[in-house]
Amino acid sequence: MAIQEYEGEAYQGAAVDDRPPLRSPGAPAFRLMVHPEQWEFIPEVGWLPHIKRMSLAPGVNGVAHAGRGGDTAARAQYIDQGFQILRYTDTEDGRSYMSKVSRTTSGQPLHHDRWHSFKQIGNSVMPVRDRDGYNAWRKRLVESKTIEAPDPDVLRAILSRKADNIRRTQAMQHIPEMKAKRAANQKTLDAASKAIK
Amino acid sequence: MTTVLHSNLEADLREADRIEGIVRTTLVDQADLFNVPGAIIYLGDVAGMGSDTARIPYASLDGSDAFTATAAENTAVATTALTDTSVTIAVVRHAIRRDISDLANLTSRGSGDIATARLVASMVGEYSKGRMNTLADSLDGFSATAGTTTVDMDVDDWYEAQITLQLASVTGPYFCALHPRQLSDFQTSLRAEGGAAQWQPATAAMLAIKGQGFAGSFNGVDVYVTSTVNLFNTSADRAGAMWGSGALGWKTGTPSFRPGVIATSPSPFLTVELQRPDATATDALIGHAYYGVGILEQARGVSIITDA
Repeated sequence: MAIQEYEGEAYQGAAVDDRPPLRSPGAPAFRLMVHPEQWEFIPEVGWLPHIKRMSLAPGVNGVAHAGRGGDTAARAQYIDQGFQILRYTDTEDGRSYMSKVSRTTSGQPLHHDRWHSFKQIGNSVMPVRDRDGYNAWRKRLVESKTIEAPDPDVLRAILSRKADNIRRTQAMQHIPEMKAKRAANQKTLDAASKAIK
Repeated sequence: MTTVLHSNLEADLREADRIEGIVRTTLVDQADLFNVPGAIIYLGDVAGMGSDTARIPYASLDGSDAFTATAAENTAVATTALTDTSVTIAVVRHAIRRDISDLANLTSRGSGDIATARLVASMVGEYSKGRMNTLADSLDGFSATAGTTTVDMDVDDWYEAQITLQLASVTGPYFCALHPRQLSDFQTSLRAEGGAAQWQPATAAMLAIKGQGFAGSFNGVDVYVTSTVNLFNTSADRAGAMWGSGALGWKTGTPSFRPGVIATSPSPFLTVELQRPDATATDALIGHAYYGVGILEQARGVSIITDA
């Protein structure tokens, strides 16, 4: 009989991940999507696509169990509705935009986008965000032509809705907070308007 | 004479502490929008339908296309093509399992304590929570969006969402599901506003009709608050939504009871099966629920994505 060798896994010392499981109910895997009509203006960066999430949890928006076609029908449905589904590797370094924490208190893995991590302080979990990295990725999606640049008419329609809100507060300028908010919104609107190419 | 003190009695004649018989529920959000009439359309059961996946068909009927005047009284009329589309809802199994030993059962102190019956009853809440999580995942899929990432929800976002629905001629009633953070930010913004529009808080009578989670109404839209609303955009935001009736739907699957299977149904569409795993002296309680939730018509809803 051949000799079998077993190498046990380390259970003490530096090699062991002795952190307790992350306090989280977990979150299902997802794909990220964009829609050509959905954009937002971030003053420091410019016009960026709204990122939408397609949950891969079975039972959600047509997603079936893996053995029953998984998200194939659901993806077709979203594409039919005008969405563009981003590939996991549509990133600058080719590393997936989705990350996963496997060890959680619920036993369910926590899927999240790669631009944030988690810090457990006592019984609370605080997300640590990389907003600049996330916005830079969104900007690069357009610059790299992964997604189409926004249509100027779409952006003008978005600004028209924002302008409605500024007009709505016309009669509230006697309230200092509303006056300040109105001025800030007007400034953002002007910058967003100028940024339309 | 030595006084009989409680402290001297402890251990043999008195207990140092005693666990109360009624086990209370830890803080939990029990909002369930599936109980709100019209909010999520029930599309029936797949039992006996030949598939676990339903295709919901839509066609341009009943006024989607209109009569037009002819050029002359004897002009030949061309055919108007019917526009059609469909959405699919996959009904899948959702489940939870609890195991409890006979010894744990026999030492239970009554109906309020942990025992098989209490665990079965608890599955109603667990089923409800799972269903709400599925709904929250579905809400992420609306294409139209109001709000700005990392910016607190304010009254402007509200009007942007509501106007988007009105411009699309979405018929009411409108419903809005927000995370507690979004509702709190919205109410803060509202306090600074002037004008006639007012927040109408939930009254006891309204809560009795609309159930837990109903927070109040604004501008004719009922607002429900639920912590199941998902995080978004590097967890910086929450993705609530406003929608008109008909935007969302759900379908179920209900297994029939089989002879010899010990099962109960403490809530519609929920089956709890009792098993006795071999030689373990335990009850295995398996709750099953078959359902799928989906967006039926994109134009009838708007995501509200604002700061978390």
